[in-house]
Amino acid sequence: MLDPDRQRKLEELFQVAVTVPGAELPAFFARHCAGDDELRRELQSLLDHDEDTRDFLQSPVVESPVSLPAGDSTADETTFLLRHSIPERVGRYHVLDKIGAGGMGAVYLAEQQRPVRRRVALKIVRAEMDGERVLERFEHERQTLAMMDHPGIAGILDAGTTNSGRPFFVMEYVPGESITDHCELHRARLDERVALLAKVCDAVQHAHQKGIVHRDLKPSNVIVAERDGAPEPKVIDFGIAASVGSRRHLGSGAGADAIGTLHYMAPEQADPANLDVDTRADVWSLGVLAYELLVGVLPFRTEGLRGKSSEEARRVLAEQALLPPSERAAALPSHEAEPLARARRLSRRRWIRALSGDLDAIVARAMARDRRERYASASELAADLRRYLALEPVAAGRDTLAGRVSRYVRRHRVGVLSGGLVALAVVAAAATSSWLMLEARANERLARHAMREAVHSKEQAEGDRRLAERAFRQADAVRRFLLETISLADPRMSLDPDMKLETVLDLAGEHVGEDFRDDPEGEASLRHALGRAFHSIGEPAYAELHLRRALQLREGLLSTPLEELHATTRLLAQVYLESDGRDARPTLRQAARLAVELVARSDPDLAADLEPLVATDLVAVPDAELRARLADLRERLRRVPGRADAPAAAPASPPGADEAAAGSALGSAQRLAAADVLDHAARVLGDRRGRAVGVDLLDAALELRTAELLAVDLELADTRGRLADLLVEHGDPERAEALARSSIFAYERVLPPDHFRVQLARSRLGGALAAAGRGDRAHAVLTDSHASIVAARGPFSPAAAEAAARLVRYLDGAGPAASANAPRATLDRSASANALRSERDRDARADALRPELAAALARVRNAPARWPCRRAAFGADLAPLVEALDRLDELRRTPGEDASDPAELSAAFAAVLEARRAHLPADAPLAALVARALVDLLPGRPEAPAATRCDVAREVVDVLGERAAELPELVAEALLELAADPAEEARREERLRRALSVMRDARGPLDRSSLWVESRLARSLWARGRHAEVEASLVDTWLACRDELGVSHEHCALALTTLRDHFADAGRPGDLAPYLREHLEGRIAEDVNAERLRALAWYALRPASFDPAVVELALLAGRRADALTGVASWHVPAALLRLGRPAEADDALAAVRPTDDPREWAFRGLVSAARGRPAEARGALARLEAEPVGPTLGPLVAEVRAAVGAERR
Amino acid sequence: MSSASSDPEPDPRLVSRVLEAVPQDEGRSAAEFLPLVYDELRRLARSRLAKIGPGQTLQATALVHEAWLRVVGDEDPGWQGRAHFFGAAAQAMRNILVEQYRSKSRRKRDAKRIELQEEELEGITRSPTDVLLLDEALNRLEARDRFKARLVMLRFFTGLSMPASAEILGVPLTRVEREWRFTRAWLQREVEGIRLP
Repeated sequence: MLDPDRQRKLEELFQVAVTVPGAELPAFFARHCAGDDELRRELQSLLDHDEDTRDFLQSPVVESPVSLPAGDSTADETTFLLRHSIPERVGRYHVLDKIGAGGMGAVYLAEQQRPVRRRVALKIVRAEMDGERVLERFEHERQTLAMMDHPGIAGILDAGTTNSGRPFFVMEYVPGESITDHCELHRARLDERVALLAKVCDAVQHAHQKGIVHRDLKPSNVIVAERDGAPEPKVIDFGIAASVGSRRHLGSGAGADAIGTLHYMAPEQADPANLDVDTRADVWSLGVLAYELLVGVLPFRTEGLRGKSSEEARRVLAEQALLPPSERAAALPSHEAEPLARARRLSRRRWIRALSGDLDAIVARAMARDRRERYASASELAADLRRYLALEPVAAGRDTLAGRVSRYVRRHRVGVLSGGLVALAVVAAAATSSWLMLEARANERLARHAMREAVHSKEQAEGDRRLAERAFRQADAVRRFLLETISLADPRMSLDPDMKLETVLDLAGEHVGEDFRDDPEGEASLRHALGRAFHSIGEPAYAELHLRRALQLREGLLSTPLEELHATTRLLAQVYLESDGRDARPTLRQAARLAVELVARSDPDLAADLEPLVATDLVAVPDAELRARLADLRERLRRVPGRADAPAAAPASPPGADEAAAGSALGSAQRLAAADVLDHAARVLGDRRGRAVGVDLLDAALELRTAELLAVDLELADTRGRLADLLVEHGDPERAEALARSSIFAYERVLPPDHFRVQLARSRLGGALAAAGRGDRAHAVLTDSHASIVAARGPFSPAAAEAAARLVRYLDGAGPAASANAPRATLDRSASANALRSERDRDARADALRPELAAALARVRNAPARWPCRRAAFGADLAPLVEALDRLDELRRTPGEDASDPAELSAAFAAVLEARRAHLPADAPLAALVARALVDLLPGRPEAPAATRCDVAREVVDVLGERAAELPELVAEALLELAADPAEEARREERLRRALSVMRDARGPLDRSSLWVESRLARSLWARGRHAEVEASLVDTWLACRDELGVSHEHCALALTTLRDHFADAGRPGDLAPYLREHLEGRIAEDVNAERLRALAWYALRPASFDPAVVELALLAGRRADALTGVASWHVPAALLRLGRPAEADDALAAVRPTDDPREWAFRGLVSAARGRPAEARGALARLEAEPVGPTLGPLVAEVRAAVGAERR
Repeated sequence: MSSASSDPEPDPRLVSRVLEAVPQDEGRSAAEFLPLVYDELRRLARSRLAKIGPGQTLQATALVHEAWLRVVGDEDPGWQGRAHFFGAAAQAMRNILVEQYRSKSRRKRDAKRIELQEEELEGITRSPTDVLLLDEALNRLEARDRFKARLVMLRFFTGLSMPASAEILGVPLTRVEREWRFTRAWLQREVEGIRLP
């Protein structure tokens, strides 16, 4: 026998060998079994047996494969559960076997002896049903049932009662599996599933035409059998539900069976008070069936339904919003989603993509809660399913351009398809469009000319006038085409966003101004489209430019429809939200006002209710009253016809009656506008009010958006994301997680995966995971998404700050183990950008980060292609300046990016500066544009000499200095750059003071940036020996922070850090004690933030001797933190050591799990030394010395060194 | 006409009691679970076998699932519970079948060489596989690699699919698929070795 090692080798070789072609086997053996004949023999014999094991063990001792009863078992999954035993004979039928059990009773395979001998299916209805009544009804329907004659319907042959009085039905016996089992077992592709379902619809339609509603369509009632090798579905049980009574079997407590049935039941059918159930109820069930076939899970969640009354169960189901199949597929955890995708022979991504669009729309239409919005018949559903298969536009939902493009791509895909085709289409469209533009303009001129002619010379023939009109129409068509092209380039619309988008947009952007000189409406539409496109690809500067112009144009035109004005305003507000240093609030409020106006047009009352949500004085309304008002409003919105369940009409009322009652139906645009208002209110109130209010508002908005058939857009994703955030804090991490997942998917569908908005959504997911206690996943997601955002947008961008806040919050809660694993760099950047900036001056590790930081800064500032966008603003008289900037821009665009020659670069910058001075005064608006362009172009060039940087900074100060309030960060940065210039040290203080006043004026003295600038100023003054002055000012700032923000505010902690560094520099670290004491006391009293507690404790532990009273506090803080996290950290033993209690410290250290925090090693070394274990202390020192240790740790390392040295002596 | 009354109702608390009682240690829990499942299966098999006519087969699947219903009931016991159940059921099915075959073949002849005639197997299984030989080969496999033996038992004696087996065994599907192919070849060779001494 082989030893275990060789046994393993044997297995591995076997796995490979089975894939090796026979001819190559000898070589394989020679290579892998050389010198081991036994192994070779074993392998050979196993391979021989592998050949002839085709049947061996292939089928188990049992016949049919079964599925495991899953966690949430419904009737269909438990059909194998043989609840009742088998009767021998029922009527004239000989029972052979039990083949299933369903909601109404058990099904048996039986044999009919007379008049013909055949096998039939026999269904015995459950005992508690009234047999006589059932039979009566059946007799009533018998004639109609007999009229059904369709290959897709299993006919009912007979009915009767058993000896014990239970009714039974006899049906054609259809061997096969349920439609869902069939598709999963055969790994049917999506189109095969759709085709199968279309056949089911045909059968159902046949019955509908005979006036028979099935009422109980579900997978177990649709049996699929192979006929001539092709799967053919057959609907069974037609007429039974109607005979038994549609809801009778739901009467007593909803068991698994009843719930299983309830799933497929249309809302109006499930309502016991409603007697009016028509064929559209079957359409709903077909929709559920479609959902299940496509996604593999039921559309609504069923957890917790078991044991509830059917009334409750119905309500729970009715309250759930329908998640489109693609989103549901995206929201599934991967261990569920992966096998489902595989069973459809698709990758997960392709699966989701295939579902989105037409299939989403078809399911949404079939499953509209209001049956008037459903397909009117099964045949309409079938037709749409077949249109999908034929790649034609489906009737469901709008026919979007995206749909047409995607169909075009699907139709023309031959063999391999990559994103390239789409990119190609976009580029081709762009090229064509500029040609068509010229054509259109020519046509337009021609048309105008012809029209004038027609007016002037009466004798012009009628035909010529038609020609003119046609030319006009053509021009318009071309304009539309171009608009579509732009929309096509918009990644919300196209399938595969590509870098080449920029080309398209640049091209379009350059033409807009001139080509639409006499067509402000056209220009506005085009600029709006461009703005949206730029916004979507994350180019806020570009987007802002176009949108502001579009808004200006639209506001100036009386003819602008309200919808357009609103759309542009809200988009601009969105762009502001994502831009640095922009106040989006006024624009947001304006957008909300317009939204109210929009609603007012169809429903003034509703608008009046929405109105207060726009006003800021709402903040004064008490929470309880506000929530009550919201509940009212939400109820009203639900009742707005066209959404929610339609009121059950009396059976007698003519079909048109309920439609007529609809009255003030809100259109799609208005509904989304109302959602906008709610979003806005949540944003305004969210910061100042209880979270419950925010959750209410966003929930209501989400409901409105979800109600829209195709509301799978970014707005919906935004609302979902924000609601997810609130829910995390509101204690519902599970729902938050689901919302976050679906929003990720929505973003991913239109944006590249590393886009910051996708990553921001992932960060939200991380927050939800952390709140749900799934730290391992959360850690990875949060760290990863933050890093991606920093890479894409820079560490100071609003998005990075948001992601960082979540990461820090998680790390705070997760304890030292998690923090230790987080890369130091991430932590530094996360904690605050400013903290890093001040750190980097004195910490060796932060020093190493500097190039990375510079590059990140460059990326965020240097949105590519900003200059070409601004270029259009310069007239021909400024050609030399434009040329100089172009030259600089070309250098930036040089392939290989970082390879440009510093001298060349300097010269290019100098040329621009010179040209500016020659052609423009410093206070010209265009000069400001040049300055901004320079700043944009600079950070990407780390090789630019310091002198050039100073030149640019000087230019910024010269040109923008007077208007510093607009761009305070830009000016302050420039001043700091200049202050760092050693050549002008004399002006350093003046510049720093000016930077400080710029920041203080713009952001207030306690702003993060202001505090940072102040710390720089303090260091500068310190270096000049003005210690007393520095100290006084730092203490003043700290006091101001404490008094105005409170001692636990982050900015106050920042001020304390500056103070700490100051005292350390001054060689009096102990003087920090009174300030630190306040922080520690405040934190211990009110905070539950372990990481902060430890950070403060560290301040007291760093110096070898510190006010013992404060060290006592640090000990307390450390203990508190340990209790909070449940993990012992080194802070407690360190504090004990500092308090002169080394024995206790030693004991405490034993409970601390080793981390890679060098501070921990240092204290281990110190304790070991104090306890007389020099070898251990030396070990710690060696480890410390192997690390790059910055000045922050320097004194501590020196302390260890001294302690070890003392031992030696 | 119903024989339902002769079947005692399953004790609804049985499963929770058993599942609570079984400790985390898997070997022990299967052992404790086994008698319960085993008794149930044997009782069911006997009553079914008595009832079926010639030419018909007994669906062992149905047996297992009926046992499932009786032992576990409506509540889903979770992964742990499913794993215990199917592990025990596979072992029980194996024992029951081997026992049945043994008694039949013993009645037929007292020869040392075990040889079964196909028609005798009807009523239990249609599978041509020689259950007794397989049992012997499985014993050998168990001695070498318990994981593989468990996989075979789950697949063959309870009819679980590959994905279901993977779930029960708590390993990725790919591993099960890989192991299955190797194990089949290995067992096949072993069975031949027993048949042709």
